[in-house]
Amino acid sequence: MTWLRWLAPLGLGVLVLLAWEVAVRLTGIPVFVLPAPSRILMAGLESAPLLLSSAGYTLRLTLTAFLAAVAGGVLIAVLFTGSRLIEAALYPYAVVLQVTPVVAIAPLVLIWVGVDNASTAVVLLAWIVAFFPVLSNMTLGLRAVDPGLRALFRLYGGSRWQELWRLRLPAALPYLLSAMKVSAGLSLVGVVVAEFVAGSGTSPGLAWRIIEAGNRLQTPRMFAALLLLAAIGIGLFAVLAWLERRLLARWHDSAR
Amino acid sequence: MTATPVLALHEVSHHYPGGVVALEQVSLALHPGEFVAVVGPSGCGKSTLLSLLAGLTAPVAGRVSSVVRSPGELGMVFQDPTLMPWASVAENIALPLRLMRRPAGEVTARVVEAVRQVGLAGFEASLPAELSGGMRMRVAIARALVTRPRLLLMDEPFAALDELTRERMNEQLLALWRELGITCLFVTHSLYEAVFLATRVLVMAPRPGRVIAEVAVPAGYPRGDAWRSDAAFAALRGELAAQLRHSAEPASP
Repeated sequence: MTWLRWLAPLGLGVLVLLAWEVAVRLTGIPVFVLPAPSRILMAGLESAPLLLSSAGYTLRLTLTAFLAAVAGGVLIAVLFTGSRLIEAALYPYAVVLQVTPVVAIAPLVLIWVGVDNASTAVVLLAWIVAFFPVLSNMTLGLRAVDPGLRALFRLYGGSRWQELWRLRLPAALPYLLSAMKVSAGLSLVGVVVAEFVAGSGTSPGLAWRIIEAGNRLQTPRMFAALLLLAAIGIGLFAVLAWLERRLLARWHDSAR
Repeated sequence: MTATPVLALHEVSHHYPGGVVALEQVSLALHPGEFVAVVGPSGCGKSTLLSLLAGLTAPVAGRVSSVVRSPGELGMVFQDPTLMPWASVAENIALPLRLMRRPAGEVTARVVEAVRQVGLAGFEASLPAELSGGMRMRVAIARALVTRPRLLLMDEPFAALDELTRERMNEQLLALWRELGITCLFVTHSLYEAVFLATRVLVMAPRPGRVIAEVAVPAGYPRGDAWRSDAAFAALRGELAAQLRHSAEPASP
C-alpha cells in the first residue's frame, strides 16, 4: 500500500487546513492572531519576490555553514583517529563549543566580525551548531572498523594512509551520511537563530522577514516565511536521504 | 620430513595483560606441503596461536622461526569472511595486492586467477551482501591465495556453514592445496573436518593452552566420500575424541 503512505498524510493535511479555514471564519479571530490559510497564501503570493529572495539568502547561508561543518567535522575526526593526543586535547573544547548556547555567543561573534558583516557572523554561528554531530559521528565511524580487516591490513603491510583511505573512510560513510541529515537541519536552525540575534537590514534572510513582519503585526506574512523555512528544511533532508540511499543501498543494512 | 620447516614455534609462551596464560611452552613445526589441523576446546589458545604464527602478535617467551619473510608469502582466512561490504568481489580479492602496491596489470591477472581457483567466475562485480555464506568464504580464500602464498593459515573458516556446503568446501580446499602445493594450518572445532583434511592433527588443551597430542592421518589423497566412510576414519576420530576428553579433565596435582 505505497499510495497510502502518501495519501494518508496528504488527506490529513487537507482536512486540517479546511477545519482551520472554517474555524477562523466562524469565530472571527483577528487576522493578526491567527490568519486563515487562504490569507496566508495570499500574503505569500503578494510578497513572493521579497520572500523568495530572502529564502535564497537563507538557503545560501545554510548551505555554506553546512558544507563547512561537514568539511570541518570530517577533518577533525580524521585528526582524532590519527592521534589520541590531539583528540584528548581538542575534544573537551569541541564539547564546550557544543553545549554553550549559540544565542549567548552571538553578540560576541558579532563584535568580532563587525556588525556590517552580519552574514559572516550568521554562518559562523550556524557552523558551531552544525559541526558537532559530524565530528562525533565521524569519529565513531572511523573507529567502527572490523578488527579482522585491520589485522589483514597489518598482515599485508598496509600503511596508515591506506588504512584511512581504503578502510576507515568507507566504513565511516554510513555514519557520516546520517550525521549530515542531522547537521543540515541544525545548520538551518543555526542560521535562523543567529539571524534573530545578529540580523539587521544587512542580513535580509527569512528570519529577519519574520521579525520584521512580527513587528508590523503582518501575521500572514510570518506564516508564509515560516512555510518557506520548513520547505528548505524538508528539501535539504530529502536530498540527503536520497544521497544516502544512492550511496549505501547496495551494501549497508540501514539503506535496505 | 627433514626439510626446513616453513614455520616453527620453539617453546613459545604467551599471556595477556591481566595474567591470563593463553599458551604455555608450545612447540610445533609446519613442513613444506603439509596440511596440519589443530583441534581443541574453546579457550585453548588457538586464535592466539594463529596470531603468533602470522606475526601479528609477538610472543612473551620463546621463538617463532619462519621462512616467510615478506608480506604476501602468508595468507590468512578468518572465522568470518571479513570482507569489505562496500567493495566488489574483485576489489576484495585484490586488496592484499593493492596494499602491497603491486602494478595494476599484475593485480588484474592475479585476481582473475584467484577467482577461477575458487570458482567465483561471473561474480566479480557482486557485493558481499549479494552472496551466500559459502560464496563469501570463497572470496576470503581467494583473497588469501591472490598473493600466491607459501603458507595458508585458517581459523575455523567453515564453522558457520551448513554441513553440506562445508563438506564441499573441504573437498575443494584439498583440491586447491594439492594444485598449489602450499602449506596449510587449519584450526577447527570439528574432528570430522580435521580427519578429513589433514595429514597431521594437533590436539590442544586449555588453561594454559598447550599441545598435548599429535596424530598422523595415514590416508592418501585425493580424499572424498570413500575416506569419510572408511573404518580408519572413524577410528581416528574416536582416538582424537578420547584425547580431547582427556584434555578437558582437570590436570592432576
